[in-house]
Amino acid sequence: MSNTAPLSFSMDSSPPTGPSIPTANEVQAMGVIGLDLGKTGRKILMNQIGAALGIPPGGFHGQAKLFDGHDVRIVSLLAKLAKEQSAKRIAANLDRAGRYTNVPLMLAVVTTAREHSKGLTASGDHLVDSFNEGGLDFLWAEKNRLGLPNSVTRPWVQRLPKIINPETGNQVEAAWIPAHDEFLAYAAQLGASYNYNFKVNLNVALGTEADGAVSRASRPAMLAWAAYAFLAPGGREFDPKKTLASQLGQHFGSRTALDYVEHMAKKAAGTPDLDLLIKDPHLNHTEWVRSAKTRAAETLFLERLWKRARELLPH
Amino acid sequence: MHPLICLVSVLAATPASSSPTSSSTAPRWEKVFEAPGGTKGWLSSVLATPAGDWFAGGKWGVTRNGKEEEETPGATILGLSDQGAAGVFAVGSDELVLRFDGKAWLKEHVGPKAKRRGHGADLLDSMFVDAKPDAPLVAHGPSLVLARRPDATWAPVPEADGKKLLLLAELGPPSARPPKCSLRAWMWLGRGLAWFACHDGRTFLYGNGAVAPKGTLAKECKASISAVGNGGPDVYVGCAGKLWKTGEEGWRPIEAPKDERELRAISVAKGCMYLAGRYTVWRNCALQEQPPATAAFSGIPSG
Repeated sequence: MSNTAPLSFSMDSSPPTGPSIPTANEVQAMGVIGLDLGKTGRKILMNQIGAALGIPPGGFHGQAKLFDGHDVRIVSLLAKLAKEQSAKRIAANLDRAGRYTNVPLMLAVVTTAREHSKGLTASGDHLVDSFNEGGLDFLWAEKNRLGLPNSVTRPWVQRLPKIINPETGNQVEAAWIPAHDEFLAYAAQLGASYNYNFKVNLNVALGTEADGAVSRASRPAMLAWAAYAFLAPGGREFDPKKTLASQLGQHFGSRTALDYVEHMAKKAAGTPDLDLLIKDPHLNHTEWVRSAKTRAAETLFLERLWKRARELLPH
Repeated sequence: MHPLICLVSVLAATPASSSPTSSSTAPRWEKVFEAPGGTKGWLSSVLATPAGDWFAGGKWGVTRNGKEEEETPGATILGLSDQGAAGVFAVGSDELVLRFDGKAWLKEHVGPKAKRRGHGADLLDSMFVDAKPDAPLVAHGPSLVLARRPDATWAPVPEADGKKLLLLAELGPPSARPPKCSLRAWMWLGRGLAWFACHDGRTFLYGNGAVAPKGTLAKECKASISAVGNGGPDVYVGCAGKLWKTGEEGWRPIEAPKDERELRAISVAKGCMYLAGRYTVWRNCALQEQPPATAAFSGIPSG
């Protein structure tokens, strides 16, 4: 099988079978395969994935853009993966994250690449500032709910005095962390946002229907929910008396969207459908949803490359 | 630069002076200042000086004793420090550096207006990171480090040196940490003087190369420390809305101002403690005046 054969995407969006953490060879192969697809191949694949997530052809514009000019935005990430040295470093960070967290690793890759791309290849135990070098403004405050063992967080240092955001006046609770924990911190934060914020809000919004709704949901939708919970874990309560359009905006967080799912289920006298996030085009009018879908799309794109890499590489 | 008369209603019972009263069992907290602008205004810092003045800074600018205001339109004060003979410094967004020379505020530095929103031009604190007499005064933010030149102008420190200074300013010298101390938090309190805590809860005062143990931190402070200040060898820490004091007997809780949930900064001088909440500066002058912090290091060999 040639690694330049076109790749396609179907709704079978399961992650690759086999070990849950890619090897350095697999990481490098993902980059090489992705680059070998060429602009056209990458665009076709990304648009197929985008369609599954309710993303219009060509993607969104602004912060949530999926394409950059005539290519996918993550082409620079693919180039990074394709280099042996950086593939080894990324694989080491994936291994660390895979050992301590239970999140889709490619979602963690995409998240880190968008938030602070240097974190993907960061290595060593010198301390870096999660605020300045990572954008993890509340890492110290979140530390104890990330599910990381003390052996990992012991070298973390609280930043004092606390930084105050000059625009909002709110205090930031950042931390100094070893460089090799930066990627792990993003993965752990993704996991905490999903396990605490999303699941709690899900249970509040859907009650006894929550588990059933998750089991019925498609994987692309659940990836988008996980990205959404990371980006905007809260949000205002959805007000059924007001129109959806009047509530979309900065305060339409993942909690608001879950309320909306519950509201729509009631309205239709049916069961709650978490796939509404990717099926209802009206939700694309909020930046959070656009960003979450874009990240889910890039995750599925990388997973598709990972599957191909695993097929091609000798076991 | 023009000092403005305070716009703010100060507490009903402002003491005639800030001189200390004798030791009292009941701390008396009084509201001495509220940030102008209601909920849109807020405080970042408070500073009490041995000269008997106190300063508070925030969204609107900086005040001296709650009476004289220096407004900083478009820029925010994020840190205050007393550098003795060099003066009192207020630093903030857009690389702003103000110096109070005892009479008036002088604008020593301001950066070009940032083209993009971000924190690259924020300054959070100013300090002498080295206790040597000829050490430069530096101001630093999350990524920016400026050094003060002899002609009272400020210039960026070259990247490699800046990084070292930033680490020293934020994490102290690694050599200060006692054996088996995994650093949990470090905070400079004055020239050559710092307080730090280890993950196992031990706390220390660091001064000019020597380290004095200050007891094990209260469990309540395990999650997060919000502010640290010292009065002589005594250290005060704010955590979870509560105030803790260490002395010879170890850490013990002391009364914090009621209704103040966010302790942002602590400063002690002349027997009075000042606390900055989000909107309010509080004062308690029922403290005993303390010997200098060097008393903490008596009997401890200099490192």
